[in-house]
Amino acid sequence: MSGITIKEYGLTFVWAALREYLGRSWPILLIFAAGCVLGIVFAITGRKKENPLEIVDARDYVPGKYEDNPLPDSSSVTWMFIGIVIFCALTVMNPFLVRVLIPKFGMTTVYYRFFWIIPITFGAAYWLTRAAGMVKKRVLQAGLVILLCAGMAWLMPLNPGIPNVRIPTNVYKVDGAVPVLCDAVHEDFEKTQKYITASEKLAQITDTSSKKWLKAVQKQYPLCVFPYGIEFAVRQYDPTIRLLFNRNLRLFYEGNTSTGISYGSKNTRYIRRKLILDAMYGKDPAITQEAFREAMDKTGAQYLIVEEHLANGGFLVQSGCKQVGVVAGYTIFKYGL
Amino acid sequence: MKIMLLAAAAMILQMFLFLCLGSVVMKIRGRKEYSLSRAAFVGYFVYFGIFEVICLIFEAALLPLRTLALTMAAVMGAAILLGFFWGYRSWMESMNSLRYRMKLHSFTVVLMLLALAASVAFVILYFDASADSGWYVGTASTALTTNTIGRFDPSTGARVLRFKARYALNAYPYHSAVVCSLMKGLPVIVQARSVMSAINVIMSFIGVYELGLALFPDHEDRGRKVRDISNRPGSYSRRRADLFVVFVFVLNILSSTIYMPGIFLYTRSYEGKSLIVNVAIPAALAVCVSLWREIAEDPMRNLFWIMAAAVCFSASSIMVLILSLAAILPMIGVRGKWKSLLPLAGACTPVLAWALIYYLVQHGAIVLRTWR
Repeated sequence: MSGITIKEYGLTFVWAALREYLGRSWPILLIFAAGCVLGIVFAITGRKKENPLEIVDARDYVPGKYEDNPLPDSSSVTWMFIGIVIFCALTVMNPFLVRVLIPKFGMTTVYYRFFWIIPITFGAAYWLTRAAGMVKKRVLQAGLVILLCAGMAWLMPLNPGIPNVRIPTNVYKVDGAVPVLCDAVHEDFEKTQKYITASEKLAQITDTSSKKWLKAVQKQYPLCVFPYGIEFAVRQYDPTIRLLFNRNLRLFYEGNTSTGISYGSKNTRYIRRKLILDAMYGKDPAITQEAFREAMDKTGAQYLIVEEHLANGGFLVQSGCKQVGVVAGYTIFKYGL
Repeated sequence: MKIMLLAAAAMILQMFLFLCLGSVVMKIRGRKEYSLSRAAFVGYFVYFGIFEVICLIFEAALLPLRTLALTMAAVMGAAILLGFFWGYRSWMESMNSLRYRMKLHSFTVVLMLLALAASVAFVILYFDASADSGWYVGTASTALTTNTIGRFDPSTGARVLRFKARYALNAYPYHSAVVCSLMKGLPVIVQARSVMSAINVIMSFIGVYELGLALFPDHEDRGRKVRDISNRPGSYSRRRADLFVVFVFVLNILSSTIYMPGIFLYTRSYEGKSLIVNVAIPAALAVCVSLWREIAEDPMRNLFWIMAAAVCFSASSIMVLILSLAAILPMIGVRGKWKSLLPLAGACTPVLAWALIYYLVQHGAIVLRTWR
């Protein structure tokens, strides 16, 4: 969870994580908790009632049928919810255990998943259904359901994914530039000697379980750097494009530390890649042509794709890149081919 | 247009496969309470449980994806044939009694179906280019293109020399690659991001509905007289379950953070994590509720398949295990049902086995190389 670490929060980590998890949807937890409290009260005060919130059920209780159960069946759901909460409070949400174990298992950034265990949403929906079920007349029940939903909508903001929906421009649901850029890169790469040599080499290797075969397969695909906005869509659409940055490296470069991984100044793998991106966008005027060429040679990057209006084209061409063309608002440069 | 038709065909075929497989399982168990949605739901878990085992064997043996696809085609074919012969009568009975069963619902069933339709339409339309989608869909597209299973890094395309336990042991993304290997012309990105998203959302709704049925049991199932609750058997339970699904839907669209189940359901429905929180957890919770209420049919067998499928979906399957223990162990303790401990341990076997292998791979006791 971004910004929440055990190192910083110590014993209050679980509470801080829960607050971050719920955000402004805290009324869901409130409904769940209030329902559990009411459920306990009804379970204790009305042990012989089938459904504590529905008095009509009391007449249907069959004495003696479930006498072997210490807990009445009517309150079993409440007790189950309480059991889950207590179990979690003692184990995976015990601040003392969490402080020691969660960093050991490397789960600080994904700790929010433990909150999935407590059925907050399902529990809240259960109590809301029971509340609505107390009204027997259909019209009144419909009115109550609408009232409850409206009240919740007033209290809580919308799921952030919902306002972001837009009609996709193609059946693949990727930015329209991705297919044309991939085609342009392939068209150019397949004319190069490197591709021809790699294909010939691959054809000679018959043992597909060997290390050599794995290497030969990857060599026949161009190694590229794409802009951040489309990079993660590229290999979903076209896995015959190789990318210089892996997921964590790129996220870190863009300032996203949610992975919990950081790359220091001694990590040459990251530093070389960062230098290439900085040069592509002209972010660091101190980068020399020699340093850029060294980074390109060491990483083996072959194609650089930059937004046309952001490209540091003069520097890239002077450093040995060739402009392949401008496609869908992006400039494609190649190096060493 | 051709791709859209293929996608529609893929969705229908996969739903039919789950229905057939579920029908076979329910027939073997001799279950009386048959419904099409329940059969498809059971089939979904059983399929991914079986797929996990077969895929892991093929992955460790460095066999090509195409071989896995052909093997799965044989499994799917057998399931469809058996399901058709064993389930045909049940399907006809279900269809013939559809009108009667619909009358057992109230107006809320319309709201529930509208919520389902809106959710399916939403996930089919929604798209983003997140890093996680790059991994999940990239895994499937890389596997299909290179005809390998897990031997190339999905985010870069570089070769991988050792399988990573965190990713290699959860086979769900390869299902899309298998489907596309069998259905020539269907792009993996469409199968993984649109077809599976729609199927997963339908399964999530069925899971929540099943949880609703467990939370609001029709007491006549237990031989009690409940004239005050409903005039017809099954009516009370269905009406409450419909309403329950509607409330869960409303709460999901009001889930305001990126960590809550709602955001996973609507924006990341093709990811294994989303399947854990939106399909496996409600299903496991339904089993736990029915155990507490003592209305369960084959609870531990159901839990076993839920756990097996959860392992296939994501490494977060551990959450399903913790939930099951948190819900069932107090019940065993309070009611003194110590005999249930052994079946519970059996039901937890898939996640425990996964955890053991994960631990051994992470600590170097087992080295899984991607080459020989």
